[in-house]
Amino acid sequence: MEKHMAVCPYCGAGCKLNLLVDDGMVIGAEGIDGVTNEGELCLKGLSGFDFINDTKILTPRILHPMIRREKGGELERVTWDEALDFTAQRLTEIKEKYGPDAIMLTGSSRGPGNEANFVMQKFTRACIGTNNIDNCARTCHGPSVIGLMDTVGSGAMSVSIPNLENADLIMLFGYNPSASHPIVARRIVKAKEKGAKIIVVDPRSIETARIADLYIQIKNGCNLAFMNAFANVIVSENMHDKAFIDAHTNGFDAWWETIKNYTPESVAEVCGCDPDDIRKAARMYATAPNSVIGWGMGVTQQRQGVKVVHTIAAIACVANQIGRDNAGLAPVRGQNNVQGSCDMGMWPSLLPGYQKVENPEMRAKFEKAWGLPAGALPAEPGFKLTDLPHGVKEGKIRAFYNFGEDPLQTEPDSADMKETLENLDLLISQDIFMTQTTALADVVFPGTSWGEHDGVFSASDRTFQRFTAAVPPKGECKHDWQIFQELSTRMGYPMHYEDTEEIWNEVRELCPNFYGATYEKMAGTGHAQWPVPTLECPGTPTLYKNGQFNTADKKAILMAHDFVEPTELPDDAYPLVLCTVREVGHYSCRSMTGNCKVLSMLADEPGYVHINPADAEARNIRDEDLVWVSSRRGKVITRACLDERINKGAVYMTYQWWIGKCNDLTMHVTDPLSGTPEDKYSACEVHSIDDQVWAERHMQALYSALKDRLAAEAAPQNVAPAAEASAE
Amino acid sequence: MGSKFVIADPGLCIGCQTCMAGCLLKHSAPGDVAKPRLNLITTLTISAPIVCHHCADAPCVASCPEGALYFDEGRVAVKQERCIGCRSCVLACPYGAVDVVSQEGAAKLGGLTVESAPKAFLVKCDLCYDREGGPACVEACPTGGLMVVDEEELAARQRARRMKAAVASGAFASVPLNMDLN
Repeated sequence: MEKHMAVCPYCGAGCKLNLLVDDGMVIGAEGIDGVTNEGELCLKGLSGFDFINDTKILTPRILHPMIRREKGGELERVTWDEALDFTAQRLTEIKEKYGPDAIMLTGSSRGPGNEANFVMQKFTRACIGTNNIDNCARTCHGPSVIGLMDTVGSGAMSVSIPNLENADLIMLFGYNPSASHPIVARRIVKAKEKGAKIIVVDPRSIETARIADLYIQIKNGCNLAFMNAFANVIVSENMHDKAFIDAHTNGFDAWWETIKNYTPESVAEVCGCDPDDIRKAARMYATAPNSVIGWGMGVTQQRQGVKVVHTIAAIACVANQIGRDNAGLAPVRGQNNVQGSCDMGMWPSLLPGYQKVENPEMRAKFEKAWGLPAGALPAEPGFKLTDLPHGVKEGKIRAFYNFGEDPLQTEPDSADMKETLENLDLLISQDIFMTQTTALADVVFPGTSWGEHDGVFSASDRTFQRFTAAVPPKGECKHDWQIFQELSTRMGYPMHYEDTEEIWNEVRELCPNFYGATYEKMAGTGHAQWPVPTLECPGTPTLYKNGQFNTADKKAILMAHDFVEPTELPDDAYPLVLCTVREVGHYSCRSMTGNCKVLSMLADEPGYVHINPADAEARNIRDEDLVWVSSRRGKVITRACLDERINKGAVYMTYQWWIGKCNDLTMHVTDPLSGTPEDKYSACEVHSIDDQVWAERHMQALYSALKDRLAAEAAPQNVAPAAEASAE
Repeated sequence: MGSKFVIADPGLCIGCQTCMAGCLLKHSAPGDVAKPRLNLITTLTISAPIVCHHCADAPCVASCPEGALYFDEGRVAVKQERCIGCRSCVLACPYGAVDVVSQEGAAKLGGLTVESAPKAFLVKCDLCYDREGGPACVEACPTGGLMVVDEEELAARQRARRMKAAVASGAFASVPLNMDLN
């Protein structure tokens, strides 16, 4: 049995593990002593490996390139040469006819790694000539990236994951680490064991609420009102650090002009909590020696996501709870490499290393390094991922290159997204599985899976770590960076990398903050936490030490905003708030974990709608019943879980289910500052189903039909192309 | 008695089900029944996987008319071939930790493999008696929230509690004690 070192591909915790390989099959995983996981793994790390072996539990792996010659025609397996020629020709035609900005691409924040993403954005900017590149951070922590760059200068955690356990106080605001990042939740338990105080502010009584010193149950959608009042208490009760504010921040007076209006009493009704609890929480936070605020999608997938991030950053600054090893900001990133996608410039306004496309000096540096004439790189920020639906409707976007994501599962309002994808002139999907999105593609490129390639991931706390291939590529799968460079070469901008280290060294040369993160430094369980500007630098676990922020004048910018209500409030027809959350044992669109035996046995379709027992009783719904959930966008079948941890008036569905698909119900309304959908708040109703036997059969029939359809879409890959077959 | 069992500390449990995944990985071997032996239960205040206590006077053992459940060196063990699927043990277990499932068995008829009638399987914790390193769930738990409680552990806890109680008894000594000794 062989062992191959890797980094878990399932969340931003960045857990190091060995893949166990026997006879070319991955047969197990074991935790090793990485900086964040210390040998521990959660259920996904431990048992989420067998999808690599093409189990076909949910949907098959893609092993050969396929194209659809005509819109609406059948997929056809072709040679790599034909697939690449076809795609290069179609993209070139669209670029010539409509301009480079008619092409939109999305990076992959999942298994491919930083090198593949870097080459994709280079292809996008240097070859196609557009900044229309984004990644799924748009749908999750985009507001954290933007809000933190606006205020403190860097769109990332300011503290490290290991240091969380040494904080004196941890406040979780709209963040459920036990489901999102069990290995981060472990640090919070350890902090509590070491004597830290824990505050949880959340509409749901989440796991951590059970060990909290103070749990405040708030109403859904009240974040900015709550945080403004929290800030108000810190200043009203003189708990702010005036010397720090004077020396290290700008804009306090204007900030206070807004904040001063938000007394705890003034927001009590909106927040649904006791004003004295807000006071208690603010006192605990401001007076503890070292406090950390952790937040997640509960903050970002809201109408005012960016504004709440501005306010959280301001709170940390005025209370001087930032810039120390155990005090700061912890927006813990969801997917394993979503920090990496942002690091690599899979962002319409940022080149790799957070260097702005609008800065001519930065563009000139990249143009020189990439052998481009002066002025070749586009200066205008490109489209955001959430611009895709209206971009296509308005005829501005004609082609979409989807890299390892499944927007039909993970983006809001799937019916609208399906129409969007169908109305494209060209949809390219480079993936490892036949997903619902790939099933609509005109070009299907089989990339190698995690476990079949090398690379570097960025953990949520800015830690670069290497992972390696455990088994050779299956079928005709190519490394993602090879596909991009071959396509780029065909389209007139040649790229010829030999391996991921060569790519990574180019990243290091172009991004000063990443320069010291060599492959050598990251060998084995080695790691490098950016900024790591020199070869000697061991990495930087803590940002903003001594109040030195990453803004132009090194001072934080305090920003305050007024609260507005969510977009779609409950009414008589749709009286419940629908909030989408995540499944602990499944990941992203579920194509990987749904093909893992143990994980699919632990949780399978149609998932659950979690509902307060009182709301269920009022609708004549029993625990484990199948039910309908409906909204203005659609109607899906799922299973009811009567759960006393759920606040009355709201229901929660996990976004991993393909039949019980909550994104058939959600609404495509975004925070205008970030383009992030308001997935945490829309209106719905839950209906009981009288005939449960029929409902079970119906659900099973839907599930079987979906699996059969995806298997049928992938089946042409088993028929070798005519030219190849005759040559054999 | 010498019995031992796995139990969760609800303070350390984060409800992540990694114990269940570890259990499933162990028990998805051919010939075994791929079902987790522990089940995560959550209430407003508690999260904890519930699993067999290997009771010293186990009601499941007493309830089985066929002797499919028996005591084996301090654990409650199963003789699968004796299980008739009557589910008396499911009714008897106060922890809800025993399950009976039926699976299509494959029977051999000479050289032919034929589908046979459903065969009942009794599913419960076997303490991973055949696994090096002990129970897979205990090893898997990322917060160290599961432990094997055996006679030694119970005795150590008893000693510690008795010690604490003895120290506390100083508070009602009828003759003042010499506190300088501390």
